[in-house]
Amino acid sequence: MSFLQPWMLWGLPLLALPIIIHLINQWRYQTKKWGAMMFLLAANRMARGYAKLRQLLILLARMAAIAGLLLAASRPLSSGWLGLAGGPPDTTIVVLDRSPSMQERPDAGGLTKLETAKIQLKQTLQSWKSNRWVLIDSVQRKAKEFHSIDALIDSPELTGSDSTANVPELLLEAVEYIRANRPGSTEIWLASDLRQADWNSGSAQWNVLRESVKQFPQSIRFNLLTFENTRTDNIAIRVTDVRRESGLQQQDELVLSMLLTRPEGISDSRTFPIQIEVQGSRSEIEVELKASSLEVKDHRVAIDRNLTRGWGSVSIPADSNLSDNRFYFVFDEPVPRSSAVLAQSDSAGNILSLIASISPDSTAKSEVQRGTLEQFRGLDLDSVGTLIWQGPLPSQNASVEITDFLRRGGRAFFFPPEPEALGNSTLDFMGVKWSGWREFDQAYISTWRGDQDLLATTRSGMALPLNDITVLRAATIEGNVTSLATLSTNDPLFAKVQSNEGLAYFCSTLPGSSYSNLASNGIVLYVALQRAISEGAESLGNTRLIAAGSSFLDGDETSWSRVAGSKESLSTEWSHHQGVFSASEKWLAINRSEIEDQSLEITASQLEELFSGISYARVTSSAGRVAGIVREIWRIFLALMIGALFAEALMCFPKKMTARSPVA
Amino acid sequence: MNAESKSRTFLDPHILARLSAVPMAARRPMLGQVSGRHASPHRGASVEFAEYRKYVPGDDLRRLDWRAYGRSDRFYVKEFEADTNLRLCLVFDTSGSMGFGGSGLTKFEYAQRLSAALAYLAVQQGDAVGLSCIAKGIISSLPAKRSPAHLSVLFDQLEQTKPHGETQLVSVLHEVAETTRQRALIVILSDLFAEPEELRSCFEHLRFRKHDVAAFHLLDREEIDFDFRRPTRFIDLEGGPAIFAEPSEIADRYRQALTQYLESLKRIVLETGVDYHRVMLDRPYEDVLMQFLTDRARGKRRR
Repeated sequence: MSFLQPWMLWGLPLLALPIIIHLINQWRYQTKKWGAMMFLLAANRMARGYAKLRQLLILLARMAAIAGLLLAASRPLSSGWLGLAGGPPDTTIVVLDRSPSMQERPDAGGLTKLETAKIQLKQTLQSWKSNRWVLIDSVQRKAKEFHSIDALIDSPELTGSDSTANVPELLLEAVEYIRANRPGSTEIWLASDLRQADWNSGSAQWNVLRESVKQFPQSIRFNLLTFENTRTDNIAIRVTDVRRESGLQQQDELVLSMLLTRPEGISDSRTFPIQIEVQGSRSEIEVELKASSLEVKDHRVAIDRNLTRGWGSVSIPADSNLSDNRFYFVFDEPVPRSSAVLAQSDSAGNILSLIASISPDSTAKSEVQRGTLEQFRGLDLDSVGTLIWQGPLPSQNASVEITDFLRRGGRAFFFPPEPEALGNSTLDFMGVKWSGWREFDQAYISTWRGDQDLLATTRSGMALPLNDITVLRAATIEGNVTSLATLSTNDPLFAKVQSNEGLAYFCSTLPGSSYSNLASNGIVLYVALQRAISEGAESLGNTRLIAAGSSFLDGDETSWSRVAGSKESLSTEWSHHQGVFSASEKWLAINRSEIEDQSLEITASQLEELFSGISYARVTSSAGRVAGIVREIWRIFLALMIGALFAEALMCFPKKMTARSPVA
Repeated sequence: MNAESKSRTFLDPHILARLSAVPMAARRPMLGQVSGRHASPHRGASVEFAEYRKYVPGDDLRRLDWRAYGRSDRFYVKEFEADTNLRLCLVFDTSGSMGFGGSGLTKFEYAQRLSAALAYLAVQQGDAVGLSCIAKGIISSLPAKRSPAHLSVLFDQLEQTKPHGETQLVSVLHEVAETTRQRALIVILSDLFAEPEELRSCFEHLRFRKHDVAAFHLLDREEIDFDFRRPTRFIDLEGGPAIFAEPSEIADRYRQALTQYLESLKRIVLETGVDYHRVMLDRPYEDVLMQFLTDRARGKRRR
């Protein structure tokens, strides 16, 4: 609770006044010599318990009356929670989640969560007397100072975006700002709808945040303005696959797969049209959604044979969230799935190149360049989408080239050298190195990530047969990696390293039968490698489908032009808004990320855990509610005072005298 | 009344003169030593016929009723009621609680006046009067005598006695019942601050000894009303522990306890036949005594 006149709270010691007066009254007693002590003793014995309780209640009522008066006079502000705050903060940092889910509008014609948050923050913070106003939003991700809260909230940049917010990163940015500018007491206001996608509760950044905040000597307080989970019938549409196929006559076909999702728990049937637009020509199909999701597989749209490259979009009628009603796509002729297999071991190299050469898509050609590690110098990485490397990690020169390759979107998949070739190699790549082999009787995979990445379940929901994998020998991976599959010995079997420079995968064993049954089992290794090859192949094509918020356009906006998309978005924020962009031969479709369509939210207990050890308060609002989240509540305390005085009067009211005299 | 008695503060000649007009009667037969105005359980020589009795050798022949002999040819002796004097035993509570008095007289002073007047009236009509001052025990005791000189001694005793110490009223009344010879008028002057059920046994003991028991229950208006405003420290006049109380907190319960006590006491005195008089100190003692005497005068004599 905060107060507009906090100095009035200095009067709180006056609460002791009733006690002092009571003690003085007790001290000013009269003395009376008395004969009828037997009745006095009896009366005293009968009344002792009740009298003490009554006296205590009277004292409490008097104290409550004084407290109510003082608190009413200090003009308390209600914010839906109880906390303690001193005076106004030196710096107020507003952290705003601009992710697509914040654009949800539960009531038709009402306000979105984002608009509501802005209005409520403005109303609330206008009474705040902060020396400095700082904004960090989920798109810019940098702290920007404003001279007033009005200028901050009315900033034209604060519109909805299509990129997923990274809340821990935003809070770390706030912490970084505090560290760099050393302000006094700081209030951090975070407005978000607690989506799991934005909060990323499993991120290690939360640990860093907690530790950083605890180290600051000044008071830092987090205020969370969160929004109620409104289960509206919001449907999201996305294109899961688009490919161009040759037709029989003058027309070719565009084959689209689409996925429609809505929140779990809504099961009523809905029929609505999907509008498909390809290079300006529109068509429509009718679908019926009965469950929480619907996949429209291989819908064919006829296109002109000369149209080898282009863009399009699919859209559904407006619902409570407009940001997920349209999805852009670009298409081109199939890109060859080009990969290079450089192996120190012939047997491993043969297996890996065999797997890489069998394309899962009959329309896409697979090209595999097979060679040894020494042949890396002669390899043209510009024509390769995925590099499969078996042997000691690359030397320094090779590392630089491979890093450039990863930076442009290529993928690298590393397998360990054979035991005798490992020797005392100290080479590392992206902070990861091989550090010796371990032998097992038969190690199994205990855990793996089935929700995403290389080992994700299939679209139809079937899990890969990872339980069938047995490992006899595995190299130890040293370094900070994210394990995708972990052996029963706690050693990672598949892992990935992701940084700003790109993404690389590591497998800690070899496919030979003396190492594991990855080759004889076949499925797991095939799927993992082909998924990596698919990701890498995208970097070679002229068209790409990327998630909003990726740094693909960063620093190079001038060479790109907008083909389709919202015209209101600033060019500096193109990479955060959906649309189609082109630059010479390149076409790019930007859409919200896949996890944005999942309506999972973090729970209150998770929130408690994330902010454990940090001073924070939470107030829950709902979209469209523009009443201030903080308002003066002195009337409540005034009512408390009146109530306390009334109760005190009731208890002190002299009792009706006994009508019948004892001597009658 | 001699010159010495005029100096006693508890005697008012005018009141005594007015009270002298009403005789003090006993409600039960008394066993006196001399002839008096009170009924005796024995036959005597008064003018009031009692009964006929068969002649037995040795009877005084002068009491033979010759007319009865003429009618029945049998010898009958005619008997008459005997009149005797009474022994008035004043039991005067001198415990500390008797020193209480809200305004005006204390209970002790009031009881002094009642005792002195009763003693005077008794001696004046030829009855013997004795005095027992009681507190924790019998503090002092004067045997019942009927001479005017004894009255002076009794007044001296009343004058010298001061209210002090705690009361053991119940045990003392039992002791009085045992030590006083049969058939006396025992007048108790006390605040009777004891458990009513314990007092019942005392009264029954006194009745068993064929005493005529009268009790003056002295109460002050302040004790009844208990009308205090400020926190008060009540000091026990009998030396017990003091009690600190907020009067407004306990007034109701105090009155409740007092009412219960008074109702119990009233029931007990009715059941035990005690001539009970509740006396408020703001009432003139002359009225109290006048009512006491007239009530007794109106009451039937029982032999």
